[in-house]
Amino acid sequence: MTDLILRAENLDRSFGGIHAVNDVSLEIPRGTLHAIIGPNGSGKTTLFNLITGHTHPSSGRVEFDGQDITGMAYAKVARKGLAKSYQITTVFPLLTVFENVRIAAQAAAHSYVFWRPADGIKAVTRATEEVLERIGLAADRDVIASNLSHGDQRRLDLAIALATSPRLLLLDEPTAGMSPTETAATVELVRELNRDVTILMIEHKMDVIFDIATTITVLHQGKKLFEGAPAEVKSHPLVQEVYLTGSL
Amino acid sequence: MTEVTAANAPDGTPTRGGASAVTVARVRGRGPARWTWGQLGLLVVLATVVLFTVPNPSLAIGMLIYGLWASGLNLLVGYGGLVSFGHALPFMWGGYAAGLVLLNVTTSVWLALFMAAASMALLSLVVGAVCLRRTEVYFSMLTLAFAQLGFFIALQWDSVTGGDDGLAGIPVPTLWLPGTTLELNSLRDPLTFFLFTAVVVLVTFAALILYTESPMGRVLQAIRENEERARGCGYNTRLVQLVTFVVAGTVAGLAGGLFAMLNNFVGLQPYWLLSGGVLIMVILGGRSSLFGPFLGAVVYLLLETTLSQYYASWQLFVGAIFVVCVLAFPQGLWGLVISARPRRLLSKVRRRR
Repeated sequence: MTDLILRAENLDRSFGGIHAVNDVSLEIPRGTLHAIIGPNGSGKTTLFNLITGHTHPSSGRVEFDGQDITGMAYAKVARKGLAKSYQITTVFPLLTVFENVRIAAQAAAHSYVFWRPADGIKAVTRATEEVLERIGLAADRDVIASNLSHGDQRRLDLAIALATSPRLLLLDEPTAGMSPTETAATVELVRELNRDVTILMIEHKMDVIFDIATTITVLHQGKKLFEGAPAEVKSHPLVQEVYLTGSL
Repeated sequence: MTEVTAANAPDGTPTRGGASAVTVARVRGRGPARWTWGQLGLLVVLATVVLFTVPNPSLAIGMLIYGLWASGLNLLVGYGGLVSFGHALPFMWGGYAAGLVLLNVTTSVWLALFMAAASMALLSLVVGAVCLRRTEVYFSMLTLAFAQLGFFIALQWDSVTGGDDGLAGIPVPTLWLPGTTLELNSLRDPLTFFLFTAVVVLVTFAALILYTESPMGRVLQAIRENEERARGCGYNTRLVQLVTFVVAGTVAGLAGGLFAMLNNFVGLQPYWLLSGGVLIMVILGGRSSLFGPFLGAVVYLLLETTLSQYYASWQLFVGAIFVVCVLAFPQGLWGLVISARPRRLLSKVRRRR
């Protein structure tokens, strides 16, 4: 049996009459880059929310690193080592880039310390600098986050997630709204990050993930349509039909 | 990177050009708004100015006490984004607690202040746990409701609080220090009282600065910016807000205890107006620092005493000034002072070009 970081079993969720996620199972081995694709409204984001605890599943269970996390509060799931980067850019707008990342970096060991200045904790400062260097935001460390360009804010969003030292990184359309150059840089970054953290990502642009994903799951109307290696997915007639005609 | 822009000479020692580039970056990085421990120095200056310029000693001491109360409230309002409409509650509670200890138990100032702060910390834990179940305007309404509740309990329970007449005849507290015992009589020896108050206020203020600079205080600001994301980093955001609520309540309790000793009396009267008054001090002074509200309190009391000498309806003028302040400079008096600095610097840079 392979070493799984995440196992989702028969996840199911309806909103009113809409069956957003219909009996979806996922198995994600440690170290892989697993991509979820599908047209708009196919249930990708809901599936993410079921994993992170934002939404409770109607049925099914989620296991993270061997532990049952079904319905667990988001903050608690995050503390276990599951970080998420958001589809709509989510940073701390009026704090500096450095402070944005530092907040995340201190979470692991110095969450609720109130008796010493945060600036004096060298290990956190170092970890923050490393992440900024890796993401390529080191030069902008003193810029107020809301003054960054859209592309840089998305990278900051990613940096915050990375700074919590997660074991599984969930990326919700990391290239959304990016220019082709920015997209290419982000794809390269995701590939580089995958060297030491398992990644589960949603992507809308198919060409982005075909090069970097280990496995691709295709969702359609809440159901798992197909799952396999990029080459299989590319050539699969059902997938082609969904993407070319938009319907089955 | 080309040879020209390299900061280090080939042998590894920084060149003069490189060193100055680093300095410039650091100065820009700190930013003019990042006053932290400097605030303590500013407070010493302000207290000294108050000591030598305010003729009425009881007003001078009151400025320190109200300043501390307002600074503590700003933890919630400015740093936490939680607007409390009921911050008179901890202030009055602290007053009653200290007054009752002095009347019935001992005249020790330490014990009275300790009881004021500690009992308020416990009460804040309960009140905060309820109020923080909601955010934004609902939080504000809940704090207001608790303050009103406190008011009516104090009014009705006259065997303990003296009801409408207040808690009168509180004895002069005694201050035990190693080697000596002092009487803290605000009428006969206001200077000793002022100095004692100044020391308590400075130490508490320093603790508040430390709190805002600590990892937890930073998380508080991150929650104000984006609570969902703070949760995503693994923080129990309610816990951080509750601790802050307790800290702000404890500081207000301490200030209330000092105020009871200053007047030897705890009254009910301007009760609900006080919650609004302290909020005005915070916003008048500026929400982005701890020193701002302190300055706001001093200015507010100055306005109040000056205007009330000439006009019976002085609150009308304070209200008008407040409206103008909020519209013209929402960053507050202190925010105005510090934002004026970089603008002047910038214009200098532009002129040089």
